[in-house]
Amino acid sequence: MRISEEKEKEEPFAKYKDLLYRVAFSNMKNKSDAEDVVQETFCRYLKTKPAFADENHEKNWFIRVAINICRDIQKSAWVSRTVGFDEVPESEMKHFALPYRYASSYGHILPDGNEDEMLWHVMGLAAAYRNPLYLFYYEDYSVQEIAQIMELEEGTVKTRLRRGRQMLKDRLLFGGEEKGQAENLKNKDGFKNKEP
Amino acid sequence: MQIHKFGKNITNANGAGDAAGNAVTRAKQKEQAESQGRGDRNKPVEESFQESLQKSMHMERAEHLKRTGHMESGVGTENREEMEKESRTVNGNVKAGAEKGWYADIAGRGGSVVSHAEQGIGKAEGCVSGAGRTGERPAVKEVEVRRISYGECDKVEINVLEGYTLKAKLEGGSGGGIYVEMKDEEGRFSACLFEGAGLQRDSRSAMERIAYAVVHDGEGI
Repeated sequence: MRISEEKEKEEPFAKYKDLLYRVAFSNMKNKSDAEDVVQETFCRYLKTKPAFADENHEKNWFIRVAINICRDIQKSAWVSRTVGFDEVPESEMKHFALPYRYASSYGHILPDGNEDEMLWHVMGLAAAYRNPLYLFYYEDYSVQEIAQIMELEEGTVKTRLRRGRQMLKDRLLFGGEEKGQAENLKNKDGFKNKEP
Repeated sequence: MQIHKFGKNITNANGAGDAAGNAVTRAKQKEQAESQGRGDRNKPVEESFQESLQKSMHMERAEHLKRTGHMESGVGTENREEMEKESRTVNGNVKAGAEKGWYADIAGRGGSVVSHAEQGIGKAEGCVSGAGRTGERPAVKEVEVRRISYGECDKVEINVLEGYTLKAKLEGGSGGGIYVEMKDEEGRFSACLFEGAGLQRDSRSAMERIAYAVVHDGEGI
């Protein structure tokens, strides 16, 4: 009985640890913080023991909590005073890999996900754009699913995707972006309610 | 000229031959004459109207055929059956499954029989578009979206700037085709099944390019 309970508790960890690490890394931009976020997410899961309607609900809950924890850490006084970069440091890039092969926007096959410059640019965006773009393109979520995870309207998600792409274009093609938009949303998390 | 003569006759018939005449009567006569004049001209007017109506109906029909994906510009007003017959002879280029929902280009004529799939995919990318191209073209048909994961795919293309993602998977066995799924910038999904033969590496369609890359693994997209 106890063994089966243990297994039940461990099952989500095995299922979601990689996904949550990637989501956390895309927000925190370094390995150790990302691992802390994953650990904290599972701690919250064990504390609250939420009931899920189905697997999608479960997965969405984990992602939402992980993003909330990232936001809390980034808002903390320590991080806001000491960590001033928006981009992923080169030394940290090796700690992130996507579990599939893909061709990048620049049209060449990559042996793994590590060399895609576009991915690092996406991670460098403000959180309001970064999370929808990352989930939409690199985790293959639909607009509807992202709206559920982030508790936003579908239209809002589409708008953020569009603006995020525009920012990337501005950044890559013209070497800058619309500062107003970026500043306005720098600290905006884009969540209506906070999960435990 | 005719009006004047006609009016004069009437006046004479009424027996009011003075120069002054009755203004009201004259006005009525003029009106009658005009209406008769119009009557004379009616025939050619009706004919031209019929002609233009026929023309516009003809154009509408052509537009309709074009919209439903059975005809493209450059082929004139031939119907679809004729086009398909011709397509069998031109360049020996038609795939065997044309009757089962597969359509192929009529290469070398500047026109093409476009699949229904092309309309479903959206204008931006499209499954196949090959007007003006020469050589063999791939057969393609729209299929139901299966929402396969990145992990299941043989090739994945993520184009953030253009806003789309492509997933391609080689279907089991020979002749199974290549399943290609596209998610556009609005998050809409569409899927096509390509036949292996005739795929072009430098096609305008990103879906066809990734299908080519799956078949010729290692050559890049």
